[in-house]
Amino acid sequence: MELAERDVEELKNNAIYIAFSSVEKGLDFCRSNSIWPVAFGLACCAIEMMAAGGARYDLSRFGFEVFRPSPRQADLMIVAGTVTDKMAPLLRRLYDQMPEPKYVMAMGSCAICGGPFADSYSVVEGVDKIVPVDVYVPGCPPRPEALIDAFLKLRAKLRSPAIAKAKLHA
Amino acid sequence: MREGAREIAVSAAELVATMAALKALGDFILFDIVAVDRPERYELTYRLLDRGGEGRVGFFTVRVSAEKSGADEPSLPSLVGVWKAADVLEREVWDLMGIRFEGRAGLKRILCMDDFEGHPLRKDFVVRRTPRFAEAQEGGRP
Amino acid sequence: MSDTLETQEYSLNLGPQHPSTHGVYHARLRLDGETIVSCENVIGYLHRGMEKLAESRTYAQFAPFTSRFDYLSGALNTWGYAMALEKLGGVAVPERAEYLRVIVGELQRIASHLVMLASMVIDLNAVTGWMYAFTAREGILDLLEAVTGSRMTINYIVAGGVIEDLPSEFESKVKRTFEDLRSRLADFDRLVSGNEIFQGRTKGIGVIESGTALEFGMTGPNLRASGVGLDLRKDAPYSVYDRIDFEVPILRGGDTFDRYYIHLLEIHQSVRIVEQALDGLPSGPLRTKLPKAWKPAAGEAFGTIESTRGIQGYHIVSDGSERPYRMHLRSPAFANIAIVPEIAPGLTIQDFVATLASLDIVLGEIDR
Repeated sequence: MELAERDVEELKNNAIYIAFSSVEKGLDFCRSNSIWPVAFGLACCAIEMMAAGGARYDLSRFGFEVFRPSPRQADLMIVAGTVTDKMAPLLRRLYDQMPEPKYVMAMGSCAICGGPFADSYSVVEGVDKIVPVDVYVPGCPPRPEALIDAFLKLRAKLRSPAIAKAKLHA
Repeated sequence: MREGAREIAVSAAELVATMAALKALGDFILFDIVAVDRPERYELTYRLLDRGGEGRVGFFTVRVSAEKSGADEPSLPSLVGVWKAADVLEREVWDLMGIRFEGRAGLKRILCMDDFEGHPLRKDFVVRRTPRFAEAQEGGRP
Repeated sequence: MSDTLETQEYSLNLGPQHPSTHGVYHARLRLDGETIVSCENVIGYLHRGMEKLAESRTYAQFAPFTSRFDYLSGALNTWGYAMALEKLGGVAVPERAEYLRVIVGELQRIASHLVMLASMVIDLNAVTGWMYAFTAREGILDLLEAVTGSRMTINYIVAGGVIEDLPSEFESKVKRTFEDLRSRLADFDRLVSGNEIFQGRTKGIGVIESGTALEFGMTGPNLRASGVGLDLRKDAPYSVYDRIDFEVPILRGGDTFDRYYIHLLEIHQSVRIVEQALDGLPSGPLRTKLPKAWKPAAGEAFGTIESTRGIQGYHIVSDGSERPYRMHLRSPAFANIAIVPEIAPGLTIQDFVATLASLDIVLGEIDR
C-alpha cells in the first residue's frame, strides 16, 4: 500500500514532468518546421531570396515559404542586403514589431560586416550592430542553396532548446 | 555618335538662357549633371541627349563652373524652369557636392539622411567610420 | 456620395518596407479616400556612397562595385564601366571579346526582364505567373553561370575585353535553353497578357505621354512604350550591334500594360541577338591586357550603354593617377522614378502599385 502510493506519486511527478517537457519540445518542433520570414528585401540578396522561394529551389519543401508582408505576423527577419544609416532605425523598428520568439538571419557580406562598402560614409558595418543575429550566410550574394542551408541551421537551433534558450535569455 | 565635337562652355549668368535656347531646338533632353571638385572651383557638366534624326543619337555637353569663394556655398542658377528632369539632378548635386541652385523650391537632400553633415563628394570631406545609429542605441551593441 | 459626405485628406507612407515597393523605395502619399492627391518620393535608403568609394580604389578594383549598381543586370553595368575606361585610355577591344560581350549582355537583359515580368505579376497578386518567369530565369542564369562563374553580380567584362572564353558545348546548351524559354514565354503570355483581370488592372492606367517622358529624361523600355524609339544599340551602335539584325519594339500606349508587354517583346529580340552573335562568333584573342597599376592620361570620358532600364552613363575623370579623380553614374532608373510624383495624382492605391511595378525600378541604381 505504502509502496503503491509512492509509485503513483512518483509516476505522477514523472508524468507531469514528461508532459511539460513534451509540450515545449512539440512547440519547438512545430516552430522549426514553419518559420515565417518577413518579406523584406534591401538589395541584391533579396533577388536570391526570391529565387530560393521559386520553383527550382523551392523553399516551401521545408515549410519556410510563407513570406509575410507584415513584421507582426513573422518570426524571422532575413536581412538581405546593405543596411545604410538611413535604413538602420527603420530596420530596428521592424525588428521591434515582430512578436517573440524572433530570429534574424544576416544574408550576404553586406549584412554581415558591411561587405565591400564597409568604409563608406553611409553604410552600417554589419546588421549585428543593430539587431542580434542568429545565422550568418556568407556570399555576395549567397546562392539560394546557401540560404536553404541557413534555414536548416536555424531549424536545428530551434529544435535544440538549450541553444535557443541560451540565445534568448543571454 | 557625334560626341566630342559638340561641347560649349558658358558662364553661370548665361546658363539658363543657353539651355532654354537649346531646348527650343526640340531634339535635346537633359540627361545628366555631374559636378567635379577641382582645387580652385567646381566644374559642372550638363549633358544633353541629342535625338537629332534617325540613327544619329549623340550627346551635347554644356560646361559651367562655380567659384569657391571663401565660406559661402557656391551657387548656380537652377534649370527647373527649363527641364523638369533638372529637379532631382540638382538635388543630387546639392546633396553630394553642396552646390546651391538659386531660383527653385525644395532644394533638400535626396540620397543622404536629412540631418547628414557635410557634402560627401567634396574632396575635403572626411569619412566617418562609426555608424551613427549604433552609437545612439542604448547600451550599444545588443 | 462625395457631394453629401465631407471628406478629408490623410497621408500614407508606402514603404520603405512594403511588399509592393521594389526594394526600399518610400512614397509619401496624400490621399483623398483611395485616390492619390499628391506623392513625394523618398529615396536614399540604399545609398552606399559608391561614387566616393571609387575615389579610393584603383580602376580595376572598382569594377566589381559597378555590378552592384543595378544588381539585376550586373554584366551590363560592368560593360558600361569598361567602355568608359576604354574610351579614357584608348584601349582596343578584340573582336571576339565584343561578340562575347554581346552574348553575355543580352543574356543578362533577358534575365533582368524576366525578373521585371515576375515582380509585375506578383504585385498584382498573380503568384502563378511569378513562378513561370522565375523558372525561365533559372535557365538563363545557368548559362550565365557557365560562362561567367556567377549568377547575379557578374564581373565578366573588364576594360580591354572579357576574362574567359565560352565553355565547351555552350551553343547546344543555349539552343536547349532558348527552346525551353520560348515555350515558357508562350505559356506566360497566354497566362498573363490575355488575362482579363490583368488587362483590367493595367490597360489605360498610369499613362505617360511621350512629351512628359522626355521632359523627365526617361529612357529605355519605359520610353519606348510611350512611342519614342530611342535605343542606343540602334541609334548609336556600339560594340558589334551594327552587324546584328534585330528590331527595337515600340508601343504607343504609354500605359502600364504597354510597359509590361514591351519587356516580353524585348526578350524575343534579345534571343535573336544572342543566336546571331553565336553564329558569327570569330576566333581570336579575348583581352587586351592592361597593367595592374593602370594609369590613364589625365582627362575625362563618358561611356554610355543601353542598359536594361535605359541609358546608363559612366562619367570618369582621371588625374593621371591609378585611381579615378571622380566617378559618376548616370542612372536611368533615377530619371524613371522621378516621374512618379507627376503621374501619381488621380491614381488609386492599387493602380499606383501596378504603375510602380511597370516602371521597373532598381533601388541599387537609384541610390548608388
